[in-house]
Amino acid sequence: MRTVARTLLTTLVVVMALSSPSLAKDVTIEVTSIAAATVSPEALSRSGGPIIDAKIKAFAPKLQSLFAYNSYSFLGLARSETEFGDPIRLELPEHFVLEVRPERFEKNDIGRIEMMVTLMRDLQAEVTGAGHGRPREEIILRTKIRLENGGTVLLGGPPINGGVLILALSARG
Amino acid sequence: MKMTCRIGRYLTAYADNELSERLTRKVERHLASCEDCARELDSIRGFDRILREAPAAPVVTDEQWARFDRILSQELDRVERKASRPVRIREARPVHADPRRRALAAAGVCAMAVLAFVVIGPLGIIGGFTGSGGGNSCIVESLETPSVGYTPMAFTSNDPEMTIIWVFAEEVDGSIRGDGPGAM
Repeated sequence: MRTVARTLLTTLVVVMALSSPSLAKDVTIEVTSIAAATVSPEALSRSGGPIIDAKIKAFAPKLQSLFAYNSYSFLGLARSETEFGDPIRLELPEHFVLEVRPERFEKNDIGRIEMMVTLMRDLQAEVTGAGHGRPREEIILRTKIRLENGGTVLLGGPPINGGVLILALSARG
Repeated sequence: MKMTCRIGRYLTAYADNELSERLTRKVERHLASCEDCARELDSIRGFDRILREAPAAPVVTDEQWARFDRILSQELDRVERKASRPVRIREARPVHADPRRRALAAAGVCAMAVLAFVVIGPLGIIGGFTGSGGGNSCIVESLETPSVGYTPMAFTSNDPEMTIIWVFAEEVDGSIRGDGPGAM
């Protein structure tokens, strides 16, 4: 019995050590890419209402209450971990690139993550295809935000394929 | 109706034929010379007409009340019968009093809890947008677009709580800028 208890205790200590913040990365960034568009009334009547991709159905009500588009397609999900001060580059669909650099964790009543966010488009990849030549990036947006820990901010507007790109950027520290 | 017309206060009673003969004659004499009071009387009569012509409110008949009462009584009887049915209570098992086994069980539960946190925690990372709780409060400190042809703006919605940073792209000669190599 004592051996079993000791084994369990050892497992517990190992698991706790592995999950301790000193070994874990500081910030997890997640970006959901969505293409929003306004489709014709005929297409709408064929689908029997707004066209919402099944993968983003969970937050479709939020999108619909915020925007006037009637079609939302899921383009991709990118997730990465980094430390404060270290920028990460997330390759997004349609040759977009999002660079996020968490700068500091603001400890107050809710806790905020201050970060620099830069949205770019790789023009070289657009012309020659991905992976050819040096990236030639156009900076579309550069912003410094203080986002509530675990919260989401929406970045959008760049035109893509008859619609617009919407990025749901979430961060947790 | 002018508020200065003292006769105006009798108009409703006049329309309802509730005035004495003397007052009725007085009102009629006044109406012959006062357009405002005549209009007010037309308005009162028009309103009365609307009330008369309005569909009557549905009346619940005695038969309907009796039926309702019967159904209610049946339903109450059924609930009462269900509540008075004997309930079989399972005999509770005594908790094992061995302290070593209790300690072992507690350690096992703790290990499972920590393991669950480690495994499940990272999967539930994204909170605000996917709806697993938490707020989305966001303060935009700075906003810029170094490339020409884009205008950024930040909006905040309270319901749902969300900050939207939107880049408005200007169109050049009908094409979206940035589409070709010569666009920069």
